[in-house]
Parts: sequence; C-alpha cells; structure tokens
Amino acid sequence: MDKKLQLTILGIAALFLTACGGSEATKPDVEDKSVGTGTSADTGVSGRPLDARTDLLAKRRVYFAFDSSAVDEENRAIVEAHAAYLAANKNIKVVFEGHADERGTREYNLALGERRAQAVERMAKILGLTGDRIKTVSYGEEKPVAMDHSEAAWALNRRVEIIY
Amino acid sequence: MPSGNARRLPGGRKAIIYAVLVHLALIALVVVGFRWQAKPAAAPAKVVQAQAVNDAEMQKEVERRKKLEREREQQEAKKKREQEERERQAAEEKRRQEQAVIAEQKRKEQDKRKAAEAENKRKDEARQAEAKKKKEIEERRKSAETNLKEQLAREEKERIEAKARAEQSARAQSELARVENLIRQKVERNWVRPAGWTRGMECVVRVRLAPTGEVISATIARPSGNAAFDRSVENAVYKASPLPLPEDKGLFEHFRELELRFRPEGQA
Amino acid sequence: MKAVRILLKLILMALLAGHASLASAILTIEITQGVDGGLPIAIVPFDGAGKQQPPQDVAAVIEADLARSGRFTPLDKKFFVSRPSEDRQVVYKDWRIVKAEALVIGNVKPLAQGRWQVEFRLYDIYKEKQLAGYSYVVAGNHLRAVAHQISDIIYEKLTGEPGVFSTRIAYVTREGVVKRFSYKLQIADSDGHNPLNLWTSKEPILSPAWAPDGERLAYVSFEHQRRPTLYLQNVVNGARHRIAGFDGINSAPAWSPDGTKLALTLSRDGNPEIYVMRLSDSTLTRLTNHPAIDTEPSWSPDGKEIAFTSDRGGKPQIYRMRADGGKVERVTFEGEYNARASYSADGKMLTLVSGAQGRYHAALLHLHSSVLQVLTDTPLDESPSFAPNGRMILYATDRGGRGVLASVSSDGRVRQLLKLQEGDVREPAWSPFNRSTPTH
Repeated sequence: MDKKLQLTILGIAALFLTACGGSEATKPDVEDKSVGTGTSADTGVSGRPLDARTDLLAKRRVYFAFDSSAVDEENRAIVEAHAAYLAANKNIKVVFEGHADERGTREYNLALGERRAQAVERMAKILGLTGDRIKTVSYGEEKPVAMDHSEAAWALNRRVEIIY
Repeated sequence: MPSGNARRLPGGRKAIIYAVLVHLALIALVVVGFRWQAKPAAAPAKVVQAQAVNDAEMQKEVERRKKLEREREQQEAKKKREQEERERQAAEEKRRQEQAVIAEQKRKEQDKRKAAEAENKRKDEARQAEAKKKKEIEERRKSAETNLKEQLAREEKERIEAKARAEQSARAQSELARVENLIRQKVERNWVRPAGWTRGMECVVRVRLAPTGEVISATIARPSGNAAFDRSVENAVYKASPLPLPEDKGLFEHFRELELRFRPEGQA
Repeated sequence: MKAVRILLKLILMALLAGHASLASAILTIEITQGVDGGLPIAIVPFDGAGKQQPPQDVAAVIEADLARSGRFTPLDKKFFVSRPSEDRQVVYKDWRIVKAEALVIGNVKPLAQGRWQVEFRLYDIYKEKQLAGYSYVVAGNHLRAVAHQISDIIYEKLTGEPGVFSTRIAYVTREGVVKRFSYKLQIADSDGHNPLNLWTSKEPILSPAWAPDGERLAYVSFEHQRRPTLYLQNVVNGARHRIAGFDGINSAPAWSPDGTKLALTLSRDGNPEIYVMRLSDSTLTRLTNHPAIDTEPSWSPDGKEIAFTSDRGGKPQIYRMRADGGKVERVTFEGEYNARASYSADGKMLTLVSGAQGRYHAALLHLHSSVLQVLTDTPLDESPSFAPNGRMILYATDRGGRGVLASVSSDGRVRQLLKLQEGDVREPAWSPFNRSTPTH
C-alpha cells in the first residue's frame, strides 16, 4: 500500500478516537503531518487542524469554566455547527439543557445551569437559529454525567446538552 | 437678863448648858426681885407722934392722912400692882424671852440641825457626786488609759506587724499573689464554660472559705443574666473546693471571704 | 496625752496606707479562662426492672440527644461509683467525685398490653436538689418520643432554652444508579430515626421548606414536564398540589413567618428573580429586578427583611432587602462564594454556605458584627438549616463518597452524623417547634 495513504488512514482513525472520548472541549490533537500543514523547518509555524463539520455536529455538549456561562472559542464552533444545521432543518425541535457541577448550592446551580443554556441559545440565535421550537431547561447539579468528586468529573458536568 | 451672846452657836450641848444656866439665873433673879419688891413695901411705914390738935384739924389731918394713907396704899397697891405687873411682865417677858430663847434655841438647834443635816446632805451629795465624778473620771481615765494602752499596744503590735510585713512584704505579697494564682488556676480548670458564652458576660460570686480551704458558701453577688452561665460558675467554685490557701495560716484572713469575677475571654 | 494619741493614729494610718490592699475590702480574683465544653452530666442507664428489655434504650437516646446538642458532655459510665435508679439511692458525693454537675436517673417498667412506665429524675449535684422528675405511661413504639421529651426537659432546665429533640427534619434521598435514580422526600425525628416517606419520584426533588405551623412542606420537583416546578404538600394528610409552574425555573420556596406567603425564585421573565406569592390567591409580586441571578430567599423572623443570594457583584454573595424589595444591601464580604442563607429564630444570625479555594463549608454570619464563622472543615457542605432554638445546624455533607446529614452546634464544637438513611441524603430542613403527627 501507498505509504501516504496508510498514514492518512491512521491519521483519520486517530482523529476518530479522540472524538469518541468526547472529554475535551479543545483538542490538542494529533499532528497530522500527512495533510501537509505541518511544521516547516524554515519558519517554525504550526497550524491548528480544523474539524470537519460533521465531527462538530457529533458533539452534543458545550463545556464551561467554573461558575461561568461564557462560551469560549472552541465551544462556539460547536454551537455554530448546530445552529447552521438547525437553521437548515426548521422542523427539528431543540432543547438546550443546562447543568452545573456539584460544588456550591443546588438552587444557585439550577440558575447557573439555566444561564448556561440561555447563553448557548442566544449564541445559536445570533448564528442563525430561529423559530419557537427552541426550549431551554436547567437541571443544575442534579444530573451529572461523572459521579466522583474530582476536577475532571466536575469539568465534565459543567455543560449544556444540545438535544434534538 | 439676856444670857451671853446668843448668836454664837458653839454646839448643841453647850447650848443646853447655857440655857439651863440662864433659866436658873432668871429664876434666881425673879425670886430676888420679888423679895426686893416686898421690902420697900414694908420699909416706908413711919410712926407719927400723937399731938393735941383739934379734932377738926385732927379729923382733917386724919382724913388727910387717911387719904394719904389711902393714896399711899393705893399707890403702893398700884405700885405693887405695877410691880407685880412689871414682875409679871418681867416674868412674862422672861418667860417669853426664855421661851423665845428656848424657841430660838430650838429653832437654832433645829436650824442648826437642819442646816447641819442639809449641809451634811449636801456634803454627802457633794461628796457622793464628787466621789461619783471622781469615780467616773477615774474610770474614764482608766478606760481611756486602758484603751490607749490597748490602742498603743495594738498600734505597737501593728506597727511591729506592719514593720514585719514591710520587711517581709515582698515575700508576703508574692505569697498572696502565688495563692491567688493557684486559686484562679484551680477554678479555671474546673470551669466548664457553656456554649454560647460571649465576651462581656460577667458573673460575680462571693465565696466564703473555711480555714481548710473548703468552700462554705458560694452565692451569686452579680448575675450575668444567663442562667446556664451562672450555674456553670457556681459549679466551678464547688468543683474547685477545697481552694488552695497560703502555708502561713496568718494570711488566711485575706482569703476567708473572696469575690470571684467570671469574665470569659478567648475565642467564643 | 491627746496629741500623742493623734500622732500615733496618724502614724498607724500611714503604715496601713502602705499596705492598703492587705487592709482594704474583699479580695477579688478575675477568672477569664475555662474549659469550653458541655455541662458534665452523668446519665445512669435506666433500670429495666426485670428480664423484659424495653424495645428502646431510653437513657441511650437521651444521652445521644444531649451530646449532639453540643451543650452537654455525658460522662463515661465506667467511672460511675453507683448506679441509682430511684430517688433514695442517690448519694450526691458519688457524683461530685466524678465532677458531674448534673445527674439523670430513671427506670422503665413493663405494664400490661405492651405499655411501659418510664420515670426519670434530674438532679443538680452541687446544689443537692432535684430539678425535675416525671412519670410517663406509653406504648412501646413511643419510647423514643418519650426519651426526646425527657431530653427537652433536661435541656431546658439546665440551659434555660427550649430543647429541639422532639422536632423533626425533612430531607431528600436518592437511590439507584445513573439514569435510574429514585428520589424520596422524607421526614424523620431530629436524630434521623423513624423515617417517613412523603413522596417518591423518578425525577429530582429539591429544597423542602417547612411551613411555620409544621403541617406543610413546599418543595421543588422535576416530575412535571421534567423541569423544576413548586409543590405544596400537607404533612398530616398527604394532600399536595403544584403551586408554581411558570416558564423557566420555579424554585427556592421560603415561608413568611406568618405562613401566608412564599418567597420563591422564578425566571419566567428571563432571568432568576425573587417573587412573593400570596398563597390564598396565588398573586405574585416581584421583588428583585436585576439581570444577575437572584435566588435562595429567606425571610427574617420579624417578617421585615428577606436575605437572598445574588451574583450581581460578580460572584454569589448574600444580600438582604426589605420585604417589599426595597433597600437592597450586601451582607457578606469575606470568602469568594456565599450562598443559601437562612435566619436563626432570634434573627441575629444567618447560616449559609461559604466557599473559598474550592471548599464549601457550613458557616454562620453574626449580623451585628458581620463576623463570618466557619463551622466545618469538610469541603462539600450544602443546605445548612437552623434548629428552631438556633443552637444547632443541620447540613448535608459528603462522607466516603456518599451524601449524609450532620449536625453541628452553633459554636462549631460538636459535630455528629445523623443515622444514615439509604442512598445519598441531601437537602435537610429542620421543622419549627410546632409538631404535627402524620396520620398516614
């Protein structure tokens, strides 16, 4: 087999693996030299790989920093992808489900989850999403995906789920 | 016929003697006086010689002589009467005088007696009063003396003690301070401060100790207003009994009655 | 003579003045330190009079109650010189030896038809007198209730404050596994015993709040449309209905002291704000008007103020406002995160969750001094709730990965875990003094 093709297949497979993990909002990712945008020995500049749109749509969670409802650049891309898709499919009903990690009080976390869901909703609307098929709901800290009391678990729980 | 100087009162017995003598003298005089009165009555009788004179003249003369006689008799009688009267009066007078004298004597005696008595009484009273006063003065003086003696003794004693204390004042003071500290520490060890005490709470307990240090009584002199706090304070005192005392029993007086002022500090 | 006397007196006075402290009035000693602790109390196991063991160890329940309050230190029984159960057997000296300040004795005797006679006496050891003594006749299943009553009497006699041992707590449990959880709303005795289930749901339940009459609970349930709405349930007869189901969040119910209104959080207008609902006609009045999150209201005992959580300053802090929404002012300034405040019964303190560097503790804020006192050192504490006498705080915490309830005395000294229920336990709420017996 062609060496280039082998590497390409390996590279794509690696991409899929990291995508299935689903735990990172930002992707350090595998350096895909085979695509040809790698480091040039002359200039030392490296580029960030751009996810394919279908990969973004596979991501149904947007993550947040502690006590924050700000959507950062990486997660914005996800929202954008979904906004575009939903704008193109106006009959699909979407629910933005907001969550928080377990720290702090339940009621405040309920409000924080809602704020996060609303942040995502607002952003999606700016990015083209319209119609009254949009709902937001908050579960606060009541429905975590990771159960232990660790930074890693907490990071996974601070999220908005895009459900449709 | 007054007897001697009746003003002088030489004394009771003498007075009687004089009185008696006076009476005798008076009586003698009275008797003598009567006799004297009687003589002249007999003396003047002169014999008149019988002459032939005419009867008429004789008669006249006789009548004149009779008249004279009568007059003379009358006069004599009168004199006699007067004499008697005088004598009577004199006797009367004497008697009166005697009586007066006697009375006066009596009076004088009485007065004397009374005066004497009064005087005696006064003297007695005065003596008694004086004696009493003297006694009082004496007693006061004595008691003042005793007091002063005692006070001086006390002062002396205290001066000595104070001096001794002053000399060992550093030692005594430090002993007292040491025992104070021991008491404080023992009470603090036994004081369970109830939850919720706050700075500013204060409870003062008056404690009476026996010479063994045993707490005889502990009463709240000033409550804190918090029943649990006051109870904890009383219990602290009882649990700390017997309280430590100085080795020198003479210093016990300083600790016989104490006030413990509970004013919690530290982290509430 | 006289002059000499005067002179001597002067000398004496001069000398005495030099030792004024020795010759002056009574010696006063200042006592400022002590042992901070509970009143040392000896609780002698109640005599059983015979082989028949009562179904509850009454003395043990009393001892646990008094210890949990933080106000008492029950003495170790192994040091007891005697074990009286009748008045005539009490020898005060025996108890002074162990430095007990109070003594509790009693006995439990079986009567006919499964009933029991319980007697107890409480003594002041140093005053050498009985402070209380009562006799009860109860069924076997009420022995714990009698023990709690006795604890209340002992507590009140020795502290001057009412005891809370006959009150109850409400809380939520969660059992099961992820995506198949089961939630229960329960009430139990103040020590966690005798749990009674009020509601079961597949969806989360939050924030139970007792009405001042102790007969109703308001709480958040996700059962309706899988989103947070408010319910009201009668504890006595079980009747319940939804009282708020507006768009967005319906949560954080808080009763007014007169029981006629609820403060609550609604985000129907776009972001969480605090409203007041009059229960008689469900009319709503909006109190806050700010784009920040405003939630977790708590009414002051005099009904004049409402404390709440707001992040209008950037991070969640405690604010308070007049009950009509006016005069908002911030109340917490220490710590990075302060939330979920609730008033003590005397209105002088707030209990809240205070967080710094990622650790969240139950804490007390003394309102007049603004002193913030952290009560625990466990890092994941939630929902602190005052006992109605203000002397204990019930809160949720984590123990070995599991949610449990604990109580801490208001001075932070004594902490006790409550009897563990099944599953994870959270959201405790302490009932008021009024007690109602559920009939179902």
